[in-house]
Amino acid sequence: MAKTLRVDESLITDSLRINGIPAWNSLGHMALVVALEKEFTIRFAGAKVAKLTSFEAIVGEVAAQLGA
Amino acid sequence: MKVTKDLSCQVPLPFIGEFVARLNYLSPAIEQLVLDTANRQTVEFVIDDGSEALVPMIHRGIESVLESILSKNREFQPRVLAKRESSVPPFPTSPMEEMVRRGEIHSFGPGRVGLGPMLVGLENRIDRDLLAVAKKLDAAQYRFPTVIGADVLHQCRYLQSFPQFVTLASHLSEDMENLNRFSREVSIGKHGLTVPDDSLAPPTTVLSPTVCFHVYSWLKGMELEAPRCVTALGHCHRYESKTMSGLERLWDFHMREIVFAGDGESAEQWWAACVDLCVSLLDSWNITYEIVSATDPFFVEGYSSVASYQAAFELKYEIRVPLPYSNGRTMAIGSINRHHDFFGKAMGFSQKGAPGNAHTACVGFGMERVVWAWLCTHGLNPDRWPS
Repeated sequence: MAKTLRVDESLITDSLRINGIPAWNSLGHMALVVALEKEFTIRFAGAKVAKLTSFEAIVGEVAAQLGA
Repeated sequence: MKVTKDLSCQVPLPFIGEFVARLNYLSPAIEQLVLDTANRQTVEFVIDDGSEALVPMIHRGIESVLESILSKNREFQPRVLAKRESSVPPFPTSPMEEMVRRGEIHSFGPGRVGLGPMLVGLENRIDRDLLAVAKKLDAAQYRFPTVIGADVLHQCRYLQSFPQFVTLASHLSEDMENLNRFSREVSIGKHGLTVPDDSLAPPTTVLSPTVCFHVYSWLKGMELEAPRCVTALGHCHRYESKTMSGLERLWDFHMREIVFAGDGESAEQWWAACVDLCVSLLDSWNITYEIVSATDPFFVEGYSSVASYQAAFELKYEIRVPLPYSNGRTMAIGSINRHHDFFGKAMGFSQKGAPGNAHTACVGFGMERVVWAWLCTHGLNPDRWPS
C-alpha cells in the first residue's frame, strides 16, 4: 500500500482509513485496488470496491478471497 | 468517402453512448459516425474528401478509445433509486419539426438554439417547480457570471478531466497596434474567424460548464459557520462536437442547480432528502423516468479509475427519460451528485467544528432537456398539459 500510494510505510497503520492521508484519495483508492488485485491475483467486484475503505477492511477482504 | 472499421471486441452496452461521443473527437474530418448497435462491433463514418490519409490514424484512435474504456472497466450493476411510467402515452414523433414550424425553436448553429414564447413559458414554469424544491432545502438564491476563472476549473481538475467540453473565453490583447491590426485583418470564412497571430490574450476565463463551480469558488478558503445551501439558474457551456443535436444536446444551455456544502453527515442527509424531493417533483410532472447510478464522461487522465470510483461509491445518479421517437434511447434531464470532500479539498473550505474539508453535493436540471422531455410526454398543445 505504501508503495502504491507513494508514502512512507509508517503511515500505513492498522487504523488508516480512506482519505486519512492525502494520497489515499479517489485516484489513490483505485490505484490501490488495481495493485492489490495484481499482487494477490484476485478480483474485487464493483460493489466491493466501495467497501475497501480502511486498512482493516482491505486485510479482511484479501484474506477472505485467499481463503485464509 | 464512407469508411467501415471492425472493432477487436464488442463495446459494452452501458458505454455505447460514451464510446461514440468520444470517437467524434478523434478528428474534425470525421462525419456521420455511427456504431452498429446490433453487433456493437462495427463503426462506420464518412471522411472529408482529401482526408483519406487520416484513416489509419483514426482506426488506431478508435481502438485506443475502446481500450481505455475496457482497460480497467469493472462490471457495475446500475442501481435504480426510482422508476416511474407516465400515465399518458408518449408523443410518438420528434417534436422538433413542428416546434420549428411554429417558430418555437430556432437553430443558430450546432448546439445553439433559441426558444419562442411558448417554450420559454414552459421553462419558467418548470423553474418555478425547481425553486419550490430549492426552498424546501433552505437554499438561498444566487446569481453567477457566464464565465468562470480558468484557475478555478484547473484547481477542480475540470480542465484535465473534461478538455473536450471546454470553451475558452478570450479577448484581444490591450495594445493599440494589435487592435488596429485585428480591425484590418479579421475575416470570417467557412471554418470560422481568422485572427492575426498572437492577437488574443491568454485566456483567463472559460464559459462556465456548470453552476456549482461558482459556489465552490465563492467558498474558497472559508470556514463555514454552518452547512450552506444555495441555488442558481445559470448559462452553461459544453462543446460536444458532432453529437450536439436539437434540445437533446446543446453547446449553450441553462441549468438550475441546488448546491450543498457542509460536514459529511449533513451532506449525506441533504442528498437523501434531495432524492426524495426530486422523486415527488418528477411524479407531479407525470413523466416516465428512472433515477439510476451513472458516471461522468471522463475523457483523459485516469479515465477508468475515476469512473470506477464514481460507480463503486455511487456518487452520481442521473434522472433519465426515454425519447419515444428514437428507438429506445434515453436522455439525462438532471443529475444528483455527491462529491465527498473533493471540492472542499480543491478549494480549501471547511465547516467549523467538522473534521477535514467540507463535503459537497448538488442536484442539477438541464432546463432545455426538461422542456424536451415534457414535450415528448405531454405533446405540443399547452391546453392539454397537466396543471
